Amino acid sequence: MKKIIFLVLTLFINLLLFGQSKGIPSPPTPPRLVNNLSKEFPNFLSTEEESKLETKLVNFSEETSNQIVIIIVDDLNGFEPWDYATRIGQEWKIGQKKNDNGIVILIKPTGGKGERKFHIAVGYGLEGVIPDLTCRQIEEEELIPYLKTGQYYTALDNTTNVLMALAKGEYNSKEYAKNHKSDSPGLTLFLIIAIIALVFFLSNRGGRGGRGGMTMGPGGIFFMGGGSSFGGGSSGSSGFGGFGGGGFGGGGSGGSW
Amino acid sequence: MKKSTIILLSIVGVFVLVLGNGCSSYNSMSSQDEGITQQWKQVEVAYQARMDKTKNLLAIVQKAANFEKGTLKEVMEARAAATQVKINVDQLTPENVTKFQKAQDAFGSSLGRLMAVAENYPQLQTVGAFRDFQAQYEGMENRIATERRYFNEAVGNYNTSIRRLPRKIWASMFDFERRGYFEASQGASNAPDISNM
Repeated sequence: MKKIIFLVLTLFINLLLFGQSKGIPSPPTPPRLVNNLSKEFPNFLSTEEESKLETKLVNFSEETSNQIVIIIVDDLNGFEPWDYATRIGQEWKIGQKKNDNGIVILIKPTGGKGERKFHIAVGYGLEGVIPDLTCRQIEEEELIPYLKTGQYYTALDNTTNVLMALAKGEYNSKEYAKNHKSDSPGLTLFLIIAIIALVFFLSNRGGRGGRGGMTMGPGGIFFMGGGSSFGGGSSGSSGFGGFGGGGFGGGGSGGSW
Repeated sequence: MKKSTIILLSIVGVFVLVLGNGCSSYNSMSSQDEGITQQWKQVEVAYQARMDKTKNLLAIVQKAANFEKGTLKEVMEARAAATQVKINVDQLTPENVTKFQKAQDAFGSSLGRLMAVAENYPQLQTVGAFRDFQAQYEGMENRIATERRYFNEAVGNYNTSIRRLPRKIWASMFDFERRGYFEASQGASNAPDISNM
């Protein structure tokens, strides 16, 4: 009898442990794709950078229904990065229910070397076009080098660009792998482009003066569609229509820098 | 209205209510049960993936000269034992799930040890197929852990609901029995990670 009580008790505790995701932030209202929840790094991305990424990802979501979420946090509340990212994906319902086509990019920039973590969780439906190995490669090529140098925007911009291209089918994971083998001409070319882009980006930044307002109010996204869902006039800062119910099964890859 | 008519109507009313509750309970328990079955398949797929990919791994490691025989043998035996334990989806009793988990966990932790030992064999690291396995290993374990968690959630909802009144009565009437959980275990769900320091 004692054994049975013990068993029931363990099961109950397990249920508590497994059934809830305590320590996982609830989805943002209004829904947003770029979420900096960090108190230690409130300017991980500048306001302008954040809205640029948001605009890009919202447009991508409207065009293709694939949803990429960026989340920056101070603490993983005891979860391993993969678990945290997967739970965010599942509980925020990122991606469409029918296609499970969501991606979560988790960044935890706090702590010393090795404690700064990232993980990209890939929804069930995208595991085929973005296998774990490819995910890892993207991180090695696009994410880690820039995280290391503190170019956070470039890190996230490049990473999302590749993820978007793969999700959309512009090229497949094999083609990506081929073009990005270390010390191949592709890498050099890539570096050159990156530097040009960076210079371009910096010069753009310098001369922003009068254009600031324009970038802040991303007019483009407002007529991209999904008008009804944000028409409530809640806060209206984003044109994003909301998450769709996508599922996550633990796919993806992560690491630290 | 006559007294007897009122009584008759009340009886009919209660009967209809009870019947309605029985039907809706039955339907909802069935669909929860179906959800568990579906999720069990996902769990099996995740475990099977580890099983399949390890087959290649073992072949590679076996070829590596002077690889520690004990560790390798252990994995092969645990794998063979785990292959033997298959559960029918309509027999997801606590005993069966525990049996399944035990076999898979034994295999999982022996595999974990093998991967740790493999770090000491630089020649293995030069084999492309081994490096690929290594890179996928974490994802395999993560998928297993995630599908197990979803399974536990589905079972948790179902088990709670069949233990509550009035559904408890319907559950016993229609033979809806408790289903088994996966218990939190070391080894299986935790691919080595230094983040927990």
